[in-house]
Amino acid sequence: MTAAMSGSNTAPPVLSVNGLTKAFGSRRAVDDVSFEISPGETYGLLGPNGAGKTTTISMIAGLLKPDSGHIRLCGFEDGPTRREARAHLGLVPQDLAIYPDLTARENLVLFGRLQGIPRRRLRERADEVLDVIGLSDRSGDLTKEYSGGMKRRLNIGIGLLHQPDLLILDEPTVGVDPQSRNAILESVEALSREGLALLYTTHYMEEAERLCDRIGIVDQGSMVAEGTVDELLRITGEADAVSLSGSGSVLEATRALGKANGVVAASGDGTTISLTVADAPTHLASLLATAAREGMAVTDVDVSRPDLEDVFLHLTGRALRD
Amino acid sequence: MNVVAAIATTALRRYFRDRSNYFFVFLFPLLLILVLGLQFGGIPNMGTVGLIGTGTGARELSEELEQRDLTVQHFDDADEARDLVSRGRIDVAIELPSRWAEGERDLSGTVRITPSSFAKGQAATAAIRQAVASLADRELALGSLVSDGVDRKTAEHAFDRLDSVGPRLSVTKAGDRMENEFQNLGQFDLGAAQQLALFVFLSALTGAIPLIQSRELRVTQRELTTPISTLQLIVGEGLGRIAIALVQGLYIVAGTALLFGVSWGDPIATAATVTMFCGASAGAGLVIGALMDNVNAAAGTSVGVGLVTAALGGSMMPIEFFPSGLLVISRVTPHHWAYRAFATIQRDGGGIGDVLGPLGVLAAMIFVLIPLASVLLRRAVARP
Repeated sequence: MTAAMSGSNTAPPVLSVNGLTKAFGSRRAVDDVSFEISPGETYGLLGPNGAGKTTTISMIAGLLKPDSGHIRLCGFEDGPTRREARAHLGLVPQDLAIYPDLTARENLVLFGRLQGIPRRRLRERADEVLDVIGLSDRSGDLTKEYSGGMKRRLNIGIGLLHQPDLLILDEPTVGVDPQSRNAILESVEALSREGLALLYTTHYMEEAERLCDRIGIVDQGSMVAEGTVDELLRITGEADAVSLSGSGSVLEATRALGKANGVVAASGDGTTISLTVADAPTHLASLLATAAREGMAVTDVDVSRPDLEDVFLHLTGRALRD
Repeated sequence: MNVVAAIATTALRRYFRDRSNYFFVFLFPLLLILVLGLQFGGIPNMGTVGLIGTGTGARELSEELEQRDLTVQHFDDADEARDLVSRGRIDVAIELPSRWAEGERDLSGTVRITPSSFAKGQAATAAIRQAVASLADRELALGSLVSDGVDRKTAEHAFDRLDSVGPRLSVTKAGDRMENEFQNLGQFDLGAAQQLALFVFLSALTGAIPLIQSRELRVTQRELTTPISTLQLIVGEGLGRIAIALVQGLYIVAGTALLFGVSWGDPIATAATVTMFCGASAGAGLVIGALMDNVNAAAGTSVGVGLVTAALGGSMMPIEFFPSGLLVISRVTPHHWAYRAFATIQRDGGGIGDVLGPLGVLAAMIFVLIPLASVLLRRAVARP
């Protein structure tokens, strides 16, 4: 297990999970998982289906009792077992946890009352949330008449209603069309910009890369790695692959580029130069300048970087979507 | 309290948003009342007896039975009478020993009584036993006087005059208790109370289904991540179901009273009994809902449990007819205690103070079932 890394924020973490373990019978669904989330930080739990992400979230939300381990939630040492602690938590479950035979407003009002929001404030807050999730004009319709994307947005809206300190989003884009998915991701980015701490679980590495300040990679109940995207990519030890195609003095350019700063290896075949480069984005401009200086007219550039899929493969020997 | 009210009102809103539920709350009980009314209402007696034979002995028994508010139909064919019993057209068939039926003053032999399985058949049987015993006692006394040399007509005349000589000592034998139990009941009173318990309990058990559906929708799990306790959630769901059951129960009370003249007795005691019974019924529904994960299985279980407990609790046959062993088992059902409370209120004119015992047992059932449902629900949401 990788030791928990705290974010750069010096404020106390909104969530601190330490040595969390949960077994169902002989199967360990979560095994000694630890991590922290700082205020305003977006933390991703990335792993394939069945990795233990939802079980971890269920324990953080108080639905499951851990076999061992400790959860400190928004300053409460007892974690989610304290009702006051749960008031600081917003949960957007993977399944659409809404009543289909109630309207969007009725769903919001129900959960608002459970959160203890005073009636007048709840009316205002429901209007605000309906506006944010773009359902103001359909707020009086039964949610069973909504599209999948609208239901997803309401699902998120309920989690936001009471303005929690930590919002947990459990695979919020599963089964969503690309347009709605992008809308959800933009909403999450907006929430992050507003300073809300987010715990985001997904098995889509693109989402984790796009949204998360730090990512914990989980597999078979254990956290196998944790860090920023760059920190995780460095784990593989692999450099970027850069391919330059063009005409002119390709062989001269190949020789010159082989000695260039950041280049680990270079080879050419008369029209294309293949380079292995440490941190290609940093060196790409100087590499193109070197090629031009040697008389090569570059017509096509292809940069291939290792991604979280490669990291997962490197760490577990399996593909993320296996 | 605000939290509990929010859950209860949501349960009610969802229930009544489904238009088909209006049928079960308002129309179905009325249909039930109508069916029961057609079955029991408008028959101004304790039941209809099919008496085989038309001889002097049969006529004497017929008179005795009619004095006990039984309607007597005479049959020549015993099979025909028994067939009508099996089809529910008459309540009891009586076959006297042939010599008695023909009036030969010979009481040897067996009186065959074939009652229907309905409560009315059982109640009528008790009255018939009493009538036959009375007739036999009279015949024995007359026989004794005749054997001592008294002219039979003189002896009969003396017996007939007994009714006009007063005051009389009324002796109730232990065997008469059954008839006396139902003496003060109107023709529909017993059936209405039994059907109320049966219907309300069955209906409340179906409260298991929305609880399971909420779990399937993951709404329950989400609710439990808010600052509420599982007990608050269960109490809220329970209050919603109690309110629905209460509407149904009081609707049946009012409907039967208005349409069929059912006498429910003291309104406060009746309302308290209905309320506590609804609470216990809703609690049982919540336990099933928390225990089971499959809606179809829960629906089947609810119907099964509803019918079995109704049978055990006296909703199909009065508990007065139960053997002692079954009566002990009957006590675990809320129906039993509701039956006893209704019996006290309707038959003995009892008030709230007279039914505190049964109400206390029903209250205890609520206080056991609701926390039990809460524990079971917490376990249910923790299942992988």
